[in-house]
Amino acid sequence: MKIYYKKNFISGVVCLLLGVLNPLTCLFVTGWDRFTWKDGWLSIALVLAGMQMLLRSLDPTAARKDLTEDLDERNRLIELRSQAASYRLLFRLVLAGIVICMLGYGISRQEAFVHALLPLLLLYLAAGIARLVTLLRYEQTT
Amino acid sequence: MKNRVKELRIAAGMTQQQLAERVHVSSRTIISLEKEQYNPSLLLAYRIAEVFQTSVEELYCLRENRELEDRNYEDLL
Repeated sequence: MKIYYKKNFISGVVCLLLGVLNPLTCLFVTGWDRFTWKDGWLSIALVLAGMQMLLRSLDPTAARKDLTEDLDERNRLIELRSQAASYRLLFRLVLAGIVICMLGYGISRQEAFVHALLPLLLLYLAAGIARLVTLLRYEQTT
Repeated sequence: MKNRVKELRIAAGMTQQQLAERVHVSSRTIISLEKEQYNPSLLLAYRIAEVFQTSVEELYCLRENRELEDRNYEDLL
């Protein structure tokens, strides 16, 4: 038995393990009364997905197809662009939230707006720092 | 960018899937290239040109694209 695509094989093993460990933790740790239908469906889905990934990683044709899909330059570009677009959208949403909170506090003087503003400011600051660090990194390496 | 991928592929009697397998990309990438929605990397352009035994300049209609870009640039000034 030869593994043709290691990444899929590892993902398959992880999925399979999670699918098996979910009911096992209920059996030995939390008790069966905590095991619901949702857990059952999740376990079945994880086991099936894991098995599919394992089988595909062991089949040369399927593994080659999966590898081509993963390395495909257009797929990678789409992934990068969607990540960049979602970052931009979140950045603007946080900024809009900050403005709304400031206006809200200015008009109503309610402290709830200040409580909502603080985490938004932290998020905005973290996003700004992350942007600056990545910008500097890619400026140096590209 | 304007290109001759579809024209050359049909002339060579190849399917999009066959071309995709030859150049190690997905068939969706070939579809996108033929629709002129996606511009390939330099290496992919060379690979496709190699399959059709032509040059990248021929495959990607370099003169026409350059003239078009020059015109667009002039319009911006």
